[in-house]
Amino acid sequence: MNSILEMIADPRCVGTVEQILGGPSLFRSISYMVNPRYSSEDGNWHRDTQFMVKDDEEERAMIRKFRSAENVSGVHLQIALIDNDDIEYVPYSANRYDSPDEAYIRLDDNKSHCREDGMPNALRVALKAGDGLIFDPVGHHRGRYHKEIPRRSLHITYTSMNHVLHDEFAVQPWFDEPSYLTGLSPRAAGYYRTYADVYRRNWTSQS
Amino acid sequence: MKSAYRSVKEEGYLIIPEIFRGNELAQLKNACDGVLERFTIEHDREKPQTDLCAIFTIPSGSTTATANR
Repeated sequence: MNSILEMIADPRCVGTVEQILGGPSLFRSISYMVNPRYSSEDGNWHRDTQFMVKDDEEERAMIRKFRSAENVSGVHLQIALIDNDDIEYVPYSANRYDSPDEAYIRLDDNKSHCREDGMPNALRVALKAGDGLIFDPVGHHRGRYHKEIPRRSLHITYTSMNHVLHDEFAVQPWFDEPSYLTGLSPRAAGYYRTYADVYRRNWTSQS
Repeated sequence: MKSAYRSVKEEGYLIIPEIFRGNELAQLKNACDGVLERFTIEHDREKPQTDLCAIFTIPSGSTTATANR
């Protein structure tokens, strides 16, 4: 696990992330995306904002707020560990609300079209092993989960120190276990200690 | 050429070629596959014959058959 933690805190990842965020970053979560073994399905088109709001109006307001902010508040970094093109993204969609065609796919009819093809201007991102894709999750995006398309992608989320986001992904009390950070470089250990210091108060109430 | 900040602020995304290569990449993949193997054993014991396409909040997190990423 140490090699994973070390590389996520590596300046080659964090440096770029912090240039984008315009200041210090906080680690939030690590996921590992793999192809399923038994079945295949296309992912659902979504913006991460839709999981944080209660209705359409609130989401529109949230996107307006993000658009007017000088900096992006958080980013996802997906590192392909083998060649893969499972992520699709709609460039420029993070700074505006949906067009009617986009809203039809993402939201209409109780989201029943969200796995359909035909999202306007969608870009399938081809990554070679070792490449990273950084994206603003406010923009339209989706994955793909096909058993015959190998996928091994490390998915890391970072947030800005100025826009700390509290959700279930940040509830990771094991970062406080005495030996958890043992063996990490001082720089990496410090990065995760800062994360724990910021999020610790939520762990007792949610874990 | 746009900065990383400008690319993501305007277009929403940025591809960074070759963040890791060679031994570092192999080491990272081995570590992640070790986590996957452990979770797959647990997953198959608890939910046999069901799919797994993501492990969230590794190393102590949860598996899921569907994901948004």
